[in-house]
Amino acid sequence: MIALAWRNLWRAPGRSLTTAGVVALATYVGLLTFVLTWALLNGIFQTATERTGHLVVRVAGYEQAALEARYFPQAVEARVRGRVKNAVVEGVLSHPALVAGGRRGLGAVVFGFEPGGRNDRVLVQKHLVAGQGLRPGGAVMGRALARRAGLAPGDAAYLFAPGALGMGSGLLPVLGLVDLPESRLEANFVATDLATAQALFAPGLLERVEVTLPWVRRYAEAERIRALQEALAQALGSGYQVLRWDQAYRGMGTLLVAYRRWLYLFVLLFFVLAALMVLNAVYLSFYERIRELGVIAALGATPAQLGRLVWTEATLLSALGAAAGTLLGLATAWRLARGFPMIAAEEYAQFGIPKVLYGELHAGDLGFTLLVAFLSSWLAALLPAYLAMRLEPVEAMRHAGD
Amino acid sequence: MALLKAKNLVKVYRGDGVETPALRGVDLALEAGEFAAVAGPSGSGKSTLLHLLGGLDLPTLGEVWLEGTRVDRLSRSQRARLRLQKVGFVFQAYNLIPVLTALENAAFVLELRGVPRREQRARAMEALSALGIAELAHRRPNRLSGGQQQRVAVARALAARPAVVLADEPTANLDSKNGLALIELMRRLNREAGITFLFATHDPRLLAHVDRVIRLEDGRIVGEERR
Repeated sequence: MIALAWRNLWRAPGRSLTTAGVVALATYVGLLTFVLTWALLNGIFQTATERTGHLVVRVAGYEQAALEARYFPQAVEARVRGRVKNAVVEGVLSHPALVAGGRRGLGAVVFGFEPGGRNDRVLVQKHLVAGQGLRPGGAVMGRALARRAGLAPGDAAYLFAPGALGMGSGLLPVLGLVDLPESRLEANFVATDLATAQALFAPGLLERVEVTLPWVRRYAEAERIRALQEALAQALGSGYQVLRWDQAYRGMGTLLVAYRRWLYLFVLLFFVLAALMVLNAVYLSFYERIRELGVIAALGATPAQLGRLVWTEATLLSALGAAAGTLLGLATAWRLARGFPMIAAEEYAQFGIPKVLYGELHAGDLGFTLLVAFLSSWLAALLPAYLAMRLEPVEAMRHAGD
Repeated sequence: MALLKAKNLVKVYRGDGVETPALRGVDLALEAGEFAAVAGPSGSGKSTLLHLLGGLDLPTLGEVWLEGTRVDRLSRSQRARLRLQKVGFVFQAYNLIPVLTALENAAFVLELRGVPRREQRARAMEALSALGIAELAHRRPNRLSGGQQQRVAVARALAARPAVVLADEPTANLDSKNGLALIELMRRLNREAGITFLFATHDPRLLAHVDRVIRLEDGRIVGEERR
């Protein structure tokens, strides 16, 4: 029966190849969509965790708390460090301030972190475009902020934060400028060393502790953070809250979850179109062979055998297309896994998407795509298979379909 | 007990509000090993009678019995299984499956029965050899003459070793030489292997070779000759 079904496909080779081609295309596009989406998700995940760490420790209810109530003792950083293994732990102090330069005063956020630490590496050293990197007692500014304030490396920037717990004001030399991918961040960004920031705004205090886990590099691994989040929250007690990266970077986290859900719908839609093609091909093939199917029925094929013959043809057609699409998809995934440039990288950098992305294909996505490919074909074959099962041999043999 | 029996068979075709009677009360009994024919002009109901006897169609009234089973009471699937196990069909237009070779066509009924592949091939080849076309086993129907195709169709019916072969105008599309050769082959198989044949035909060449002729006109049996 399988041999017969296979040979039947090649009675109209053009039609079968076109249909298999559409199934192949749907499979390929489905796999490519997964590969590209994972590349995007990983890129965004990478940027987001660079900005916030995988976990962020803050004061409980910090969003509603007054500015000075958001700070907590620096000793908490050591407690966190003692609780997490194989992690980079860094205390950060950020505070809003007015930055005055030669031209005007502008609102900014001053970040205090250790020179040579993780934040220094990913925010300053990685994006430095003028002057020198961070040193104690100096400041590195976003290039956009410096330009608007009329400041350049070598100038002195006056920082003023009324109501701060520290000195509240100070004059810092501008050491260098950074060009950050996110324009909004660059327009407000001032970095100084942690000790200077604490002296200016909150002596001996931190605003957050960031925990970065070098062993969690991909979005698909993000779920592994949950257990650590819960353990850390329990250890620190109710005065603190431990946020995951997607909670800290809230808009992006929600968007990614929603995008993943839509993704499966997109892939399903590709296969709805492919299923219509399979239905068309299998139905035409059935219609042209009604007489022959009548003969097969007359020879003793049961209705189930007739239905199975039509169903097998649809399955083989889909298998052919799915195999071709999978091979192409795997080859493309392999190539994209080595990295590819993001289109319109400058524009997308605003949304935290890196300029180079790395494709990824998961076995589950491959399984989902193939399952949908076969299910849609089987659904498409239901009608012709049902009609074949209902054939009356004598009437069918009188049919002049072919 | 008769191998095949029809009691008061009536068949009326209905379509577009018009009723067309094809059979008007046919009684018939066929014994195992017979080589018989239903003869009559076109439209006399020969093919309809064969279809009803073979369980391809259901009578409007009457009964059909095959080896003690009442065929007209069976479901569609049961009738299919009965045909598969007990009836071999040969059609006027050969009706071979074009994408299968002669050997695969001859083995097709065995394939439907789920007979192991090796046995299928052996029995199909045996049938093709008996019909003198073993050397054409691997050719597809489009590379066979009409006579050769009809022999493959007979081989398909015989390879399954049915209780009865029902052949509807098997020689109608064949020239004199091929027609006669096929008739002689079927006659030999009837005599040597005891296979029961019932033909629907108005071909005098075939009628001259059968042991029994049942004459049918306007859906009724009007005469019968035994030789």
